[in-house]
Amino acid sequence: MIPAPFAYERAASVEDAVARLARHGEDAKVLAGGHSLIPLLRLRFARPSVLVDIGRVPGLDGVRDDGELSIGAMTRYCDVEASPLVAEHAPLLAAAAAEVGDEQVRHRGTIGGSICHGDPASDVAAALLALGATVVVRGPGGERRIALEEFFVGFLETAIARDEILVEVRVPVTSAPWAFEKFNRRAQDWAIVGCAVLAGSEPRVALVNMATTPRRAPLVEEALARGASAREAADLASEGTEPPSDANASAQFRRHLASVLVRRALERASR
Amino acid sequence: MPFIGRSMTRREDRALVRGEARFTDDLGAADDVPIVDAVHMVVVRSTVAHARIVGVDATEALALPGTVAVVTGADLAGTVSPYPVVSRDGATLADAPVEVVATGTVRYVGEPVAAVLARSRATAEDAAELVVVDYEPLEPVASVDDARRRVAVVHDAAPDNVLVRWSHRSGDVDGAFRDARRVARCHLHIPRLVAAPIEVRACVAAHDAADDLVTLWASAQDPWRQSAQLAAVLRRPEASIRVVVPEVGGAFGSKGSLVPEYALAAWCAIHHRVAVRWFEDRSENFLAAYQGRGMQADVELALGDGGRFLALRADIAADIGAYLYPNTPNVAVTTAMLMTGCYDIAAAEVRVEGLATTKVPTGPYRGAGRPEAAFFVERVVDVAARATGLDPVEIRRRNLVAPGAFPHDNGLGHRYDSGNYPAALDEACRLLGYDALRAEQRDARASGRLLGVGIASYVERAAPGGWESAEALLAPGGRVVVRVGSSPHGQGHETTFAQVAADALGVAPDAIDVRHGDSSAGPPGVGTYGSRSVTLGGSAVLQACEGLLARATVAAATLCGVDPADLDYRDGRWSRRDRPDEGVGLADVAAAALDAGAPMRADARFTIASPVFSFGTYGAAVEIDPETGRVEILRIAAVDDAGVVVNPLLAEGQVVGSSVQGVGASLYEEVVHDADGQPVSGSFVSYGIPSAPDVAFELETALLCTPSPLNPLGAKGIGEAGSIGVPAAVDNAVVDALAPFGVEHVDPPYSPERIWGLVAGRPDARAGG
Repeated sequence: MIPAPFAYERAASVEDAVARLARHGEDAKVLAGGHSLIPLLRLRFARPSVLVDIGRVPGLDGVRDDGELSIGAMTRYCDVEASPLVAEHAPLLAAAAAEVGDEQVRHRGTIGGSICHGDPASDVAAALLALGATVVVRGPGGERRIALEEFFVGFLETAIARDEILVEVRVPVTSAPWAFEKFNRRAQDWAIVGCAVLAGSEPRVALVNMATTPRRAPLVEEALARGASAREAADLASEGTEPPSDANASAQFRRHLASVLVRRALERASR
Repeated sequence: MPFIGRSMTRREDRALVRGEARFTDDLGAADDVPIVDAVHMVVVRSTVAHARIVGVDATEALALPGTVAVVTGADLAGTVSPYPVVSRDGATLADAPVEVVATGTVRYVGEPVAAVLARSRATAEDAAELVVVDYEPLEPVASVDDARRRVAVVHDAAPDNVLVRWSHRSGDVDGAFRDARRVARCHLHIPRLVAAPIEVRACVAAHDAADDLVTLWASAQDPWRQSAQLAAVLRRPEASIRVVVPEVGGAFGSKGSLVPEYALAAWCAIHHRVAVRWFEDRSENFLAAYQGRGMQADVELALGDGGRFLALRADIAADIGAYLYPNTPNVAVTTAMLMTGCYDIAAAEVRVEGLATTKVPTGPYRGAGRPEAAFFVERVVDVAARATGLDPVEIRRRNLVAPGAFPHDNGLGHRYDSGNYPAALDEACRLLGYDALRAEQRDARASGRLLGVGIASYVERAAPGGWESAEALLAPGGRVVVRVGSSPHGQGHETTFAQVAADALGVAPDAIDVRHGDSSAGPPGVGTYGSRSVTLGGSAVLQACEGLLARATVAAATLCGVDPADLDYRDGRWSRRDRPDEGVGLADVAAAALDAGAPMRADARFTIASPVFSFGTYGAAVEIDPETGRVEILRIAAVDDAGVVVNPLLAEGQVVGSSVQGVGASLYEEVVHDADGQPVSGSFVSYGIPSAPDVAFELETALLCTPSPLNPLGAKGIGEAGSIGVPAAVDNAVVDALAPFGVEHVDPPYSPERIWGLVAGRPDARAGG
């Protein structure tokens, strides 16, 4: 299908994009890699009157190491996957990025776009939660930092304001053991359930598609901190979650899978 | 060395892989297609499963600049005739033909209600959104059970909701069941599937008022059925219709009847005096292209001493959907007539009911009735194996039709032409490594792994009666142009027919040009479906080329001044027996014929009286993750016997492609409608077909050769083999893997949750629980 009519504007800079968003208000949407937005446009489920394309805004892509990893919002999955800095300092994120869709998707979709879409089934969002990432957003009033956990508010809903742009994801460097588990029916599908584990002294566990947002599994983390075994901790994986029921899996099956995947990830991370 | 039987790469592929091939939506002025002034058609589709149309308000749509017209069922009333749906094989049909556009009542979500014509596709889509349809809801009939309970009557012509009925009985069925030592029983269900061709349905329609000629360029399996059905629907002589089928991006059975939207586009072209182009988007293909499968069965097998099959009984119910396409009824009847499978069963009784539901109609999808039959038969055979304690291979071996017993009447109306079923079974066991897998399975089970091995033998009715024709023409320079009625949509006709012609004419395939796909050029045809093209079209090519050679030999004799019997023919050249240095070639004969003003040509129409029966045995090894329910296919062995194979490379391609579709049917694919008849699997997110990483298992193929006596090539069909053999073999393997849990049956697709539901909380017999 062809999207409903909309105006297209190309932003020259972050400031320009923010100004345009402020001007158009509720009717505008930011276009980054387009891999979530364009399908919605074509099905006419999303009908913004203006698209603000930030695809050519300079300085929004690439990975830098300034004590933390700084990953530009427009960095494509494939570049996250291939980055030596990510491989060295946050290999969990590289592994999650490699699991997204197929090659074509990974060459278009961006890490910032995924985060801003707020999809609970996002692989990289779960990895970033486990890594303790922070996002940097810029709006008319300047820049603010938001812990990723506070960024995800509800189903496809985030803490970013209408006139703000996500510019950067900041990831603490780590050498802790890690594992990423994704369960789907076909290799290129969204996760039915997934899980990201960063082991070490303060283990962090995050779940894909087990709630209205990507989320951590705090009870699992607490159990691990208490010295529980992988199996004991994993049994708590679905506590407090609200997994969806759909054609691929019921909520009950997702709860079961969450425990299996968390256990497998914990075992793998400890090997 | 003959070219028949040689693996040759496809001459079609050069254009395809270079992006030069032209599909319907690529056509333009260079193809003499009147695209420049054409309008775009977008179809307004029903959003409800069953309702009376109270009114269609197009006011706003017509007010949108660029909108040309909005056409509804009321506009077509009185100007079109119902689709021609005729009974075959003794089926009783209700009068419920598919409609070009709904008139009065809609019967499925996606049914065309109106067409918008506009100057651009975007405008047409905008305008289509503005068409307001007022529905008075009727009760949906979302399943076969709903249909049988008559929650609503879908068609007044079928008060019991039965659109297709067929039954057959032979032998003393009741006596056999009375005397049986055991009876194996199962209830089986195959969900609906979509064909999901890469190229969706598309057409361009134009009407030349001066000649009163309607031309339809269409993505279709062949021009002939489109043309014949369009003539019937539009009430025109077939001579006033030309159908051109350019390159086609797959059909898998789903483009074998006239597409209602093509008829609608043609109607609009005639009545609005404008060329019309239409292509659907993927969502529409999910909604409105006819679907496949959707069948359930209760099957009983009476067993005598030693696991001998005494009699088979089956009740089959097909979820036909809202209407009958011309090829809809054949599918369930095809299943029914193959229900004795590869086995020598003295008595059989099979009944079929095809039920009306308020869902998109069904029709052929690769296999078209045979995968259902193989699944139903091969499941009950495995149930019988378990009941008798016989190995699944052994019980099959004991009951297969013996190689010396052909032709074999199968008790359900078919006469199998030739076969060697035990050879296929043995070869499949060897390729799969059956005995080694059984040993591995014993060890795996001891360590808690769920390994399963499945075997399925099948017989496939191919080339269902009918004919194809061909014309061979000696062209200037001595090349031979073969025009065929048989028209491909990916099968490789140009390559294989050139091989057949090359052998008949004693030249290289490079010297042959194969033309097809235009109903106004060349000889007539029937269609490409049912694995019939080599058997029928190939035989016609063979005979046309033999006829051409006979005529050319007479001409050559005249040129040489001798009697034809005094010439030797080799490699495109005749030489005198008495003076071998003297002679003429094909080019000389062509030139002489041209000089005489009578091009050298020959026609042939090959008609087959009864079908040919391909067969084979498939084996599958699977492993199931007991924690997640994931089924992993480890290995598939595909052994097919399609008689004489013209091009083994292309045959293997057919086996591989159809096997992948079989894997999709086993593991992923299922059309789901909710209780209101709303489809909930309308995209590739919710309806999964396998992609490359999903088919990383080992696939071993082998072709055996038991020629058919019913055609001069000795050919049978291979185009659907894997779709037939794989699902049955994989199902048997999955049930085998789950045997320690006491699982006796599981219907496809084997979603992790479905498998987990069978395993979770069930005691594992291995643990003594």
